[in-house]
Amino acid sequence: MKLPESEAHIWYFNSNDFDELDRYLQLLSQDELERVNRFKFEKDRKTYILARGLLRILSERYLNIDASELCFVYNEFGKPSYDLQTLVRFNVSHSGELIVLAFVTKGEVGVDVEHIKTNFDIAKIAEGFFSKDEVSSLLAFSEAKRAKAFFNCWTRKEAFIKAKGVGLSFDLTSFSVSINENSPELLRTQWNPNEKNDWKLFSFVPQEGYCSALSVSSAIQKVTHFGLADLD
Amino acid sequence: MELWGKFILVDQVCQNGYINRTELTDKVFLDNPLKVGLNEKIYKTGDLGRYRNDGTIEFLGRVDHQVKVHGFRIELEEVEKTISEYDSVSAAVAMVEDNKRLVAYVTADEEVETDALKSTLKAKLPGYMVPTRIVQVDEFPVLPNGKVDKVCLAQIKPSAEENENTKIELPSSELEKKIAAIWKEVLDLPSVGVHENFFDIGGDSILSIQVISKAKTENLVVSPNQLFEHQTISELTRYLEAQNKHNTKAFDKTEFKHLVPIRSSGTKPPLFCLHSGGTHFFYYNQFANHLNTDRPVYALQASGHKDELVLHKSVREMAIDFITEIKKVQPQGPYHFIAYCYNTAIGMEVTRLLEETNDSANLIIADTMADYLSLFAPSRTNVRTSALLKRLKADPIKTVHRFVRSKFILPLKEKYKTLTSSGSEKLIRTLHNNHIKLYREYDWKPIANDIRVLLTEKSATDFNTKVIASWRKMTNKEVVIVSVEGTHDKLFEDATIVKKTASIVDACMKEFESTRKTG
Repeated sequence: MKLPESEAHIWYFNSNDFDELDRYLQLLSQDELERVNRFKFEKDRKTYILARGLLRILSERYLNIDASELCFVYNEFGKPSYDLQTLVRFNVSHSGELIVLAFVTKGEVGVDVEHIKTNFDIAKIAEGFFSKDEVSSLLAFSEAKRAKAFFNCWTRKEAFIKAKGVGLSFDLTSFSVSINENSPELLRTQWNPNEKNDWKLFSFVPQEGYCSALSVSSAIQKVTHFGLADLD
Repeated sequence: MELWGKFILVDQVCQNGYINRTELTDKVFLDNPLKVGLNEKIYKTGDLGRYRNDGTIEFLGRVDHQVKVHGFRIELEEVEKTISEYDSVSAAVAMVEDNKRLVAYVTADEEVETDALKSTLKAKLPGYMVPTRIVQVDEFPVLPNGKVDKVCLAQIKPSAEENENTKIELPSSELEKKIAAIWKEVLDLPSVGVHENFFDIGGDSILSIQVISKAKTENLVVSPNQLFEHQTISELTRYLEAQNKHNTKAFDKTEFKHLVPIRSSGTKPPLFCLHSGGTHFFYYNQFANHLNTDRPVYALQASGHKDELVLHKSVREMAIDFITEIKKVQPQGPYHFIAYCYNTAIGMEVTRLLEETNDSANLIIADTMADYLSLFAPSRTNVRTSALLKRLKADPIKTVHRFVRSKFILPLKEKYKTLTSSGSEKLIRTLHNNHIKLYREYDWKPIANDIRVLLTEKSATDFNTKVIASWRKMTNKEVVIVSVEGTHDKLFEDATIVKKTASIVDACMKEFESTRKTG
């Protein structure tokens, strides 16, 4: 599958569309199977099997190699990458019934999807983990719109730290993203004021009740979306 | 948990074995952990095997009766024989599970009190030969050749009740209960065992920050990092308890001449605030209060003011003394340093010393030019005068006020400070003069380390460009510029500015730690 340098590909799948997991389970490596076994709940197993199975199927296409040759390595914060010489980068996220996979051939990539929930104290979480300007933008939203705004912000932040490969140990208050619906943007990176220019953010609503964001190199001009129908 | 490469084996071997014994077969099949269908894979021999965690295949059917667990040689037959001697037990099979646990399966005519059995075994066998788990089964599955089918046997899990006891250990201590209550609420689960892994029972990143936020309201300070490192309630509790102990550990002041703890608690690599002449270490107190509470903060001073003064002969000598004490509280890097004004020379030198021991150091310079005294060299006077005149033109009142303040009021305040605190003014002046002397004599040579420079906005002149250029000459690596708000003399003093300075320095340290890790 062709992936131009200026493009990011993003794939969405709903785990409810999959009944037969054998095909995906077969693709998993020893350590992935062990991970499957550690999940206590069936729904988590299913999502993981699909996410990893689909990652292997899609990787096969982007890398033009056999899935059996695929090996992943993990950085200190658990971010996986291909254990081979390639410019292809991927990132995977899942939440609820959705699985999202993103691929680029230029720079790094981070993706996040979240099932929008309101069963927690949104303002308190934001105050603890968002930057000051993010908190004030969030609180400016009416209560009715705040949850969506929170998840816009969260998914963008998470996508960004995933792209950087640093994980949640990174200080989430040390950078700011935009929070509004229309113009996803990395606004400020405290440690290096210029770093914000190196990245681009995109936001999507893959399905009602979900929110997703993609963080890629600023060289990426276009994001193309794919789904189950494009798989076969 | 282990991968049962064995469903396959179950399919091929066990089904033959138990064709008319649905009860036992059901029990054996209960274990398929995936519940998502079976793979068609065949092992040529039909031998008994299972994948181990390291990816090798273990042939249990031929397993040697002499095995090792945690380095101890265990005679399985000896274990089996001893168990069989127990009253009600008719037969016993012992084996090693996951390469690390000794387990035993027993058959008996009546129910076996496994706890009582274990106590009996403890009296007769060395501790490492007492099985961690004893499971009673109706009968042993057998292979077509009549041998005990250990693969099938290994898949028989303890009964639900036993399982509850061995696996789902409910929280018991106050702290465990507190954390468990938070997990249950966030994960929306009726109960959580202390050994269950957060990320195995539905936890993810957004739920992890909810846990952290709720913990904070209960006065439990946990960072995302700590939750990732301690993923069960049991581990997290142990960690927090140890931390608590560590935090309250008394700091033995007599051990240190130069190092003064501003805050000795915290788990992150400490920040060392360099300051060596004139002012007191509590200069950094306000600043330290605004830093992440999980980071210890120490100040380093050339000498205490009470006892005999330590008058170093060179910046290098002072740096060696500092490093000796720094290593006592933090034996290994990364080390963070913040240096300001005259202390930038000592900042350079401690960094150079740490380079020699391959420790990583993050040198943060607070809005100061390298070789700062050159500013006061005669050749610069014109520039300074013209800059003053320019400012005077733009805003006469503010400029005069600032000039008066910097030349007269601040030095007076400084004097007042030193007079009212410990030590005599004279001692401090001696120290300060010595420090200026050392600074003046210091040979500015580049280090092989990044330098982070906090820069305030300066009016009109190209002063910042000169500051940056001065540091570029001082390193073979990068100079990282970080903009800060406020003015040079307010960075650690003004209540609102110091808060911002602290948050930026926090970010600098975090960034340094993460780039070091990923790079």
